[in-house]
Amino acid sequence: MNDYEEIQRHTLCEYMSLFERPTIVNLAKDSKIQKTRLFRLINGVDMRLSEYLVLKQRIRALNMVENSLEELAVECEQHLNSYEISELSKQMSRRVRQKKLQKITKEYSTAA
Amino acid sequence: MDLLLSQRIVLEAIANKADSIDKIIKSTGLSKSIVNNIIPDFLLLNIIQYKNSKYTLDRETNPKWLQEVSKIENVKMEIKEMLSSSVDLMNKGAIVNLRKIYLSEFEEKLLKIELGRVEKLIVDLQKNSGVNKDVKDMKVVYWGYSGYGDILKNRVS
Repeated sequence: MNDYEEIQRHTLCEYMSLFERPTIVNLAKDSKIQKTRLFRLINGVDMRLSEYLVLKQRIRALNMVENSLEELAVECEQHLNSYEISELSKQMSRRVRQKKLQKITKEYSTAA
Repeated sequence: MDLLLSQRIVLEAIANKADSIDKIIKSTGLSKSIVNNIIPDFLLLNIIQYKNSKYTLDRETNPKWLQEVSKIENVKMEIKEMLSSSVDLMNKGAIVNLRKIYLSEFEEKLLKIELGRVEKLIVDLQKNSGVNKDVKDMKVVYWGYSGYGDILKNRVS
């Protein structure tokens, strides 16, 4: 399975996990994607970008994570230029690297 | 390759003759486990070497790392982090002064002369600063000025 298929499968699983009864009827009602199309997507047909975005938006809405980092990141992607996005991602990446270093350190200390 | 501040200080300590793990820990003030995490990466990247039970900077095997860590975009990122951290420390002992003022051409010249003096002082102090001192005890000094409009333009554009 390539990365692209993996992302599609993960997105669908994540979306379906948010329903008590993830039937095609329920999913179609919520996402406004046609039932037959959803059936095909679940069976591995390539997802369109618009469908991916709809599902991601529904996942965010169902998780009730307004103003979350993910949502903010989407806004950044829409409004900022590539240089600004690159600057932000560098800063975030450095924070994560530092945290990872501390995390590894913590585990190391505990083990020692 | 951009260095984290904790990685940078380890390199500075080694450059400043801290040649063993214990000396690096003492010089940087970092915990032993953090230093133990950083050192293997540096050894793998041939940034440092371990010879005769001593750590030293490796300027021969792959000298490109020096250019990499000195790249302007990488240095800028570190400066931003240091300035941001200094601002966070404003109420905890850090002295960060910032004023917005109008300057005439003459006043700007005066300011430049004064800043030039500060720079000279810093350079002289740097020349006299002793080796083998702990790098964590260094002070980070910043000075300079910019046009308010330029700062704004950079942010808004």
